[in-house]
Parts: sequence; structure tokens; C-alpha cells
Amino acid sequence: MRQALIWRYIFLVAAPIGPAVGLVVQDVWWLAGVLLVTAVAWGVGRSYYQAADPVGLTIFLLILAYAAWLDVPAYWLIGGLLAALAVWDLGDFHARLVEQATMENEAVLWHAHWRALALALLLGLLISSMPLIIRLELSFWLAFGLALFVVIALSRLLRRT
Amino acid sequence: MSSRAIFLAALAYGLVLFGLASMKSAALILAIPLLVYLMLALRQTPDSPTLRLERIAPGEAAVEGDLLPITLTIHNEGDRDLARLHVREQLPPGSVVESGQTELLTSLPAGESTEISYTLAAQRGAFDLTAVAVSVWDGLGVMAWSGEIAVATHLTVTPRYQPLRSLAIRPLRTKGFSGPLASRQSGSGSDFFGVREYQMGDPLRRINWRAAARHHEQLFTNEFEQERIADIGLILDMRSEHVFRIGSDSLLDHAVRATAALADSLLQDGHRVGLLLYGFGLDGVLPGYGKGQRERIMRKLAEARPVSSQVFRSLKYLPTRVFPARAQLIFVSPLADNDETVLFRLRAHGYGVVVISPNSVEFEAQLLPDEPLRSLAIRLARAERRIFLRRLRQGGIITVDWPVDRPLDDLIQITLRQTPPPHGRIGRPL
Repeated sequence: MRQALIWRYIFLVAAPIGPAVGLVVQDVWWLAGVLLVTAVAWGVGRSYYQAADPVGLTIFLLILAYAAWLDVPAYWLIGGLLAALAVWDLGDFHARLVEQATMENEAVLWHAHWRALALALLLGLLISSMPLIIRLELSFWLAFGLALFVVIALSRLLRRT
Repeated sequence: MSSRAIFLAALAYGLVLFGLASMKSAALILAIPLLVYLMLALRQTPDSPTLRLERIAPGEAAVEGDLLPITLTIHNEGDRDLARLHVREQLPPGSVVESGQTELLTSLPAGESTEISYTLAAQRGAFDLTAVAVSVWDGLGVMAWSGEIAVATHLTVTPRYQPLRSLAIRPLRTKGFSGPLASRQSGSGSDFFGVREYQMGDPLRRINWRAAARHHEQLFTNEFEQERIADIGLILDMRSEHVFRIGSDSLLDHAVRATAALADSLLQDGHRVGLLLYGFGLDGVLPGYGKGQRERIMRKLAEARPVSSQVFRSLKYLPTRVFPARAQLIFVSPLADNDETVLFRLRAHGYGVVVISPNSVEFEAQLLPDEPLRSLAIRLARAERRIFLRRLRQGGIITVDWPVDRPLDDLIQITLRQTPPPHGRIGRPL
């Protein structure tokens, strides 16, 4: 339980660094400030409200999306996004352990979760880095078609499960 | 699908839409880690687990107030490790867990087992522990399989009662088997019954020499009273209109305990005892003897609950022919004003009737607010009840007015000792 909390704080500290640097490089100081304040508020809010995690992640993503709108390169943003995702995930994991009156094999539970999270973060980093390395020129409609395919496929998959 | 999956999917869709609308590839790239996370969770979506559950409970019967240690063992008989398994006992409403936990979060490798142990404080009733709620999560805790696995355990918690001494009831008719009751017939017994003229074959030790000395050339023989068993019908009033409750304490609980104590004492004395639960339809146990009958009555009493029924609101439908003719009926009820007619009718049918009435006035008085008129109201209610009970006594019904905070045994013994044996006085007084 303690390990989840420690890692959560590490990720929370790490989350705004990359995007903030990117924003500063783009000379958008105020948004970098907002990002840092959001991270602090997320950390503090989580001590009082469990709902701070999804709210924090949503606000964080909105800021990153706005940063993307301001042409901050994606490589500054991806690290922050992955860290924010980890914060949200570990916050939920920690909350579940805390609310559980009886628990067995806590270390095994933690290792299984940590392995799955690390794999998700690594794959996420790897796959989202690929478009940064391999640049393909897509027409709007092709990109739209691809996005539509992803949305529909994921929706069907989610509904089936 | 969990709320986490929906939340992540919504964020990913939002980013994709934003990326397309703004034509910013960076926004589309930001959606990728979320989609990867979701896809990994989806890939690990657990199927229904192959679990075998066993519940060990201490026998089927327990007594009110006992502590029941229960152990639930979970065996993973599948070939997959369960990364995150959540098991929760589904206890019947009102169950009180005295110690231990009824749920567990663990990881359970294939072929291994774990267990949950807890102690239930037994409350009177018949309970079925039917199923256990099980959830299996993927490694990320996003996708889950949730369901119930049936493990049936039936528990009957019978009432706890203070045992009563042997009851000196005087039924109108006794049965042919020897028992503890004076039968008002001469025969082999221990209590002196009377003297009659000597007849050939009478044992010499039964000759009354004092009487013989006073008569010329005549001998007399002592007679003893036969001791027999009787047919006894216990009737428990469960009408909710007369059941008062203060917190967890209910007048019906006291009535149930009294009925259980009566049944136990009467069956121990060898009587033939039956039970009728009056309130919602007619339920009960046919008359019988012995330990088996005791068990049947206790199980039936375990299930006694206050019931509300328009039809059975009054005692009008109390069956008068369920019990053998001239049996001794013991009616356990707080009593209502219009009950006397039916009780007199029972007497008129030739039944001996004893009413054990948990005192509803004293019980309810605890609830009344401390107002100036409180004591006057209580006095009036007490007087009304006294008059009502006196009317019953005058009609040949033995009544035991029982304030439930006092031991029932003493009250019954005193009342029965003070009551003269019945001489066929039947019906309502003029």
C-alpha cells in the first residue's frame, strides 16, 4: 500500500515537468504555471477527495490538449500524459486497498498491478513515440477514417466485454 | 465494463475528436497511451473463474446469542492465476458480525486456496446463506468479471430461554400414560386420594387401620391419585398489531422465549405438546412427544415473526378443533380488548385455558415521554388491563400477567399454585 503511494507521488512530481518545459520553450509561461498549480492541487485534493484523481487527470489532459493546440511538440507532452495516467491508476489502486478491510498477499497484488502498469506505460510510450519517428503524411479523411475505425472498434470491444 | 474503462474511453475519444477537429497530430498522439492502456486491460478481461467454495458452519442449529464461527474456503481450481480476486459473503439482512471479516481481496494462484473466517452473533431466525459475491479483476483493475457463486448453508437459530420448573397445570382431562399430573382418578400414585371399602385382593399395606378401628368388622383401603400426562396446546400470538418494539427488544421475542420455555418444560414432563402460531394463516406443529417434538417446536419458534393480516387481526379465526378435546391450551399473547370472546369460546368448547400475557403496558411505558400526564396514563392503562385480566379469571381462565423484566418461572408457579383445580366451570361469567 505504501509503495503505491510513494510511486504515485513520484509520478505526480514527474507529470508536469515535461509539458511545463515544452510550454516554457514555446513561451507560454502562464499555462506552465497553470499546469504546476494543477499538479499541486491534484496532490493536495487527493488527500481529501477520492474524486480528485479523475478530475485531476481530466484537467491535466485538457491542459495538454490546449498545449497541443498551441503547437507544443508531442514529445514534451507524452511523458507528462503517461505520468498523469500512472498517478490516476495508482491512486485508484491505493484507494481500493485502503477501503478493503481484509487483504491477503498484498505484495503479490502490488507486484501484479505494478507489472501491468509498467507494461501499459512502456507500450504507451513506445507506440506513441512511433509517429514522432516515422512521419506519414495523411489526408484529413484518411486520418478521420482511421480515428473512426479506432473509436468504433474500441466501442464494440468495450460493449462486448 | 467498469466506470474506469468508460472514463478512459471518454478521455481517449475526446482527444481523438479534438485532434481531428483541430487537425493537430499531437492531440491524436496523446490519445495513444490511453488507448494502449485500455487495450491491455481489455486483453486481460477475466473470464468466469473456476472456483470451488466451501462454507463450514457449526451445525445447522444454534441458540440465540451464540457465537457462530463460519469459515469460507475458496479453491482456485482453474489453470489461470487470479491477479485480483475479491470475495464477499452475502449475509442476510440484520446479521451481526461479531469478529472477523466477511470479505477479502487477494491474489489467488491456480491450484491454491484461501479462506475467510468470521463470527456471527446468532439472532433468532432461520437463515440461508446462499451465495458469495465474487469479482475477478484484470491486472490493471479496469475490467472485471463479477458474479455470484452458490454455496448454500442453512442456519436455524432457536430462541434462548430460562428453563421453567415442572408446571403444576390442572387439565380437564389427562391421557392414559403415567406422568406428573394429578388425574383426579384413583389408582397407582403417590398422593393420597381417598378411602374406600376393602375389597379382596387389596394389598395389606394399603389398609387404612385408623378407619378400620372406628368401624365394626369393616376394613378400608387407602386410594392414591393416578399421575398422568396431558394434551397441551401452545398458541403463540404473532399479530403485529400487538407486538411492541423498543430498539431491538420486542414483546414478541419475549413471548417466543416464554413459549419455548413452556414447550421444553412440558415435553420434559412427558406431555403431548403441540404448537399453533397465530397471525398470518395457521402454522404450527402437530401434537407430539419427546426430544424430536421439542426440536420441531424450537425450529418453528425460530421462524416466528410479527405478521400483519387483516383477516387474522382478531382471534376470530383461532381454530378450536386443532387440539384434542379437553386439552390444556396455553395462550401466549399480550392480549387485545376483543380477545376475551374467543378465549371464553375455547373454555366453552371444554378446553382448559391458561393465558400467559407479556405485560404490554409496562413494556410500552418505557417509550412514553416524560410528560405531566404520563403517570396518570400509565395508571389508567394498568387499571384497564387489571380489569380485563380479572374478567378472564372470572371466566375460568388462568392468567399470568408477566412484566417481561421479571422471571416467568416464579410468576407461573405462584399463579398455578393459587389457582383451584377446575370443576367444569365453563364460559363467561354472568
